[in-house]
Amino acid sequence: MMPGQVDVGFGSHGHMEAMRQMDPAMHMEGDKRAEHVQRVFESLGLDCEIQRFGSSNSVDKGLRGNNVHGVLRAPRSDAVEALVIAASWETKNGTNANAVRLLAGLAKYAAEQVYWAKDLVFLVTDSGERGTEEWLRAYHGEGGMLQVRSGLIQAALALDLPPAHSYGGISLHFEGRSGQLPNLDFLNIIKHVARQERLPAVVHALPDMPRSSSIMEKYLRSARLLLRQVRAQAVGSTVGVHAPFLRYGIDALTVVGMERADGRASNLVSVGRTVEATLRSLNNLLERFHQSFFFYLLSSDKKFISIGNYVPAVAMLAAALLFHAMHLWWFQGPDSARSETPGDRIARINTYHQFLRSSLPGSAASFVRVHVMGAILFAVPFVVPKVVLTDSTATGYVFTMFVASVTLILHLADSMWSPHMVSDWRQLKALAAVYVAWVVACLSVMNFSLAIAVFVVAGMPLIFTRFKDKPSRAHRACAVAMLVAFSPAVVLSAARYLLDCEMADLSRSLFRLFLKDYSFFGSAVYPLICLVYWPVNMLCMVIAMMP
Amino acid sequence: MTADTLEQVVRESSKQSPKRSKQELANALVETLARGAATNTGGKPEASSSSSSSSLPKQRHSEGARLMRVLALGFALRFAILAFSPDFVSRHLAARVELSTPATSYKRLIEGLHLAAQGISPFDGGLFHQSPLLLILFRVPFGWLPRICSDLLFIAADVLVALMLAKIAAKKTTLPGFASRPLVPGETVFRCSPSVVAMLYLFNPLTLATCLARSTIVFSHLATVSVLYFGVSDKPDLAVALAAVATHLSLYPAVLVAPLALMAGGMLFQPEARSRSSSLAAGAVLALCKFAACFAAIHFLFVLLYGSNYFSATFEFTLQATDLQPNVGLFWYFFIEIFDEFRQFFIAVFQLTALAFTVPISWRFRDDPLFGSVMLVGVVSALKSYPSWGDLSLFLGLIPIYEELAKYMQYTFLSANLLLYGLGLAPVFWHLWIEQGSGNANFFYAATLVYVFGQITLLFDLGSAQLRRQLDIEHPETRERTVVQE
Repeated sequence: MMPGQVDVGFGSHGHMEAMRQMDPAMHMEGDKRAEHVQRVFESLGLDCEIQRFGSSNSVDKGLRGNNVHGVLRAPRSDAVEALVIAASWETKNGTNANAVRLLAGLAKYAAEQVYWAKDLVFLVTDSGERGTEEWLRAYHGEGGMLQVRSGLIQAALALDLPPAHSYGGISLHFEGRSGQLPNLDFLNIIKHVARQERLPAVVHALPDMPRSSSIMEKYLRSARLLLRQVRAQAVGSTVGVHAPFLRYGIDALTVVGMERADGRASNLVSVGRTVEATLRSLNNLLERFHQSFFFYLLSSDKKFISIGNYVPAVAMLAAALLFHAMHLWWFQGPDSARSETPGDRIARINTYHQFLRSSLPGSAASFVRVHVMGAILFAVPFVVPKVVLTDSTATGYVFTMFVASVTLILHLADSMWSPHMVSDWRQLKALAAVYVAWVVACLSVMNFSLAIAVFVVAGMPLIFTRFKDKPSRAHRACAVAMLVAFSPAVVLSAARYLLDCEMADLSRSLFRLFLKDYSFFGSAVYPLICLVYWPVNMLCMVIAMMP
Repeated sequence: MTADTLEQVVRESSKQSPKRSKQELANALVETLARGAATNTGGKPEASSSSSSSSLPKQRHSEGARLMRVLALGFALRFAILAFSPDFVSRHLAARVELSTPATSYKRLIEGLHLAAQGISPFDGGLFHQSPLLLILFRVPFGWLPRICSDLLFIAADVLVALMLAKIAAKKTTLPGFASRPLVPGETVFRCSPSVVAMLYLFNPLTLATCLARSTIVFSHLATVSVLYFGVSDKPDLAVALAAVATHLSLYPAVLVAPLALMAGGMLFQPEARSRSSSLAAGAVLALCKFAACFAAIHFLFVLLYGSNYFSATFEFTLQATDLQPNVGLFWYFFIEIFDEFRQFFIAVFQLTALAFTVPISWRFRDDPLFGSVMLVGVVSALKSYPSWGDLSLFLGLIPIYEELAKYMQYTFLSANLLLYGLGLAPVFWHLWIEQGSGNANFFYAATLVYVFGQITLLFDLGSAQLRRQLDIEHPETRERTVVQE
């Protein structure tokens, strides 16, 4: 794709003029703003359309907005492939006017060129990821087709430029909602061309270490970088405007401008030239990106860990649970089932199977019941009227369900104590461990970070839940306290401090955020919490309290 | 367990919290059923002389009632899902390649029915590959009745399969061939009661998903278990006729003819006749001839109705594995990769792998042709050309009939885990490959390999469990010795 092999031409007086045409839109709102953007795009020679969308979903009420997109038809081909450059008016940095202005300038520039083999789609959306998702649905024909269309979208680039005169570098954000990643080559192209513009590109806004720093400092930076990626990939919320594209199998990332105080930095034009060079490189892309580089973790800006190197780690986590389960499974049942004398063999086997027969239905029933509880937790938010569901009611709902699940746990553990019930904590723990290992292993190939997260919150407490046959009361109390600390209600309340600065606001509910992510973007976090994490946590408590 | 306790369960769970859904109520019921069954059959240690068929009439009655409840619950659950959330079914289940193959897909059935209704032969295009029997069966419900009626046919077939399984399980304890058979001395006989067998089939998520996806494999299953049921109830003619029907539905049940011939030869019903090999041979040959005659009769009927090209569209299609749409079997990937000049050779090799076990397995387990059939169902489910999860569900449904083998099985943990991972990874890899575009075909095929390997492990384990149990029966003195290797 020959990144950086061409002379970039963006930055002439005409382009600046086009950027200034966008300025009045900054002080407008709603429909008027969209119409202004459309006028500007049309004056530059693009095919334009405004998409007005309103939310009909029960989770998010009354969200409305406009998407404007303009298509620059490629002079050298027949509209089968397209590249998207997107910007949202509102981002978490406040207004994103610089990006919209840059879009106009780039459109002006691109319209002057003759070498485009792919259509360029310039998209300006009102409401961030939500708007992008609506636009993508309409583009792909779900719920009302767009009139002005182009071909298959091959790659998308989202711009997020905070209001500033100069940028000291760009930061790349690339994780999708369900842990999808864009191809590594796409990231490498941007890094390469940005370096030529003297605009250092870093990942996740983590500043680069000077060359003189010690190994320890470099190592710590790598660790922090990995942690940020794992966090973003596992949770998949508030990552950037590019996130919805990835769900449609389109490689996408967000370029965020990093502000810099001293005057030695580059201005908007060099960001534009970087984008231009990236687009020209993508223009050369013949088919798809190579399939080998969709799974990776970046340990520094120039190094990556491929799937072959990190999957063994998570496989070992699952294997640990499996071996634990195997050990427990062998040693379940009454002691008389494990005598070593050969003469007792038949009696021993009979006792063991008698035990299995009478205890397995009970264990299976506990499994089913906690999952039914999880299913109720999962389903209720989709049934209640949409006005009810706010951040505070969501928090209340989580804690109510927590109390409800405690009563179910007590009921289950209590029924295990009854003399008619044959049960063994080893069996239940072994089954739970097999189950968690299965979930972690299956998730790890799709979303490594989420698998790790599930292991940390569900698998680790499970391992430490119980070791002894007859634990003392203190042991049981400690185990239950630990499980409460790792319970979804507590973890969801505490995790906001780990996630993002804006989530640290106490009034926000992570549960509701995940619910929204699930219903709009198909993120897997919400079903996992309700259908795996919550039931497993309940099972652990039952195990801790069983005879 | 009596109806009183059941009612108590119902009352308790409705009392405990109003929030509890119907489904949980059902779960409580099922669980109580299972517990009742376990205590009912497991508890009594039996000497080798007394067989377990001597249960009290009162107990048998409650067993029947329990079976009816299980079937009714299974029916209600399926009906509720199909009637109230067809969206869920069509979005998440109907198009899954793991559930419906080109040879069993409901969509293609509808297509074929449309074509047939327009007077065009559905077998002319390359689309419809299911038996003309299904066209006849669905003609009325599809043409004149609302859509839910054809859904009801699928549900009814699935529930009937469960009923047949329960009847086979009940039959097995009373058959002369089983009842007069010596047991292992000092053994506690564990027998799954029929209602539990039915429950384990009906509430298996794989069965549920297959039925909801309306895969026509359900009808093939029904024919297959009917063959086994009539085989063990000493109605060989009916069984042979049904085997011909099952063969027309999905080809592979043809392998059941071998154990069926042994049953017809009297292996189950006149155990004393085992020595008389001439009567066995005569019975077996006669059964084979009857099978061929039935098969030919149905064939000619179909030729009259739909023309002779139905044969290449169904049988040849299955044998040649013409459609290489991915599924959970071994064929598709291999035949995408293979060069055309080797194709015929490897088709022969692969199909022989699936079919060649028929005679050896039947003969090795000739003392118990029913067990031979269970093994063959497992072999077919692992090695056929268009397998789906539904095939596994029938095999898993048949295993509880042989619960006495459970304590001889050594690799349950391994095979259960392999199957779990095979089942879990397939949709994940499918998502990565087809929807996400970041994986490729190798991913999905790897999951398939794990799945098939799990089935083979289970088969192997089951077969060796049966052989070791027979060894224990024949040479009980070997059991209490320690093996010392020097």
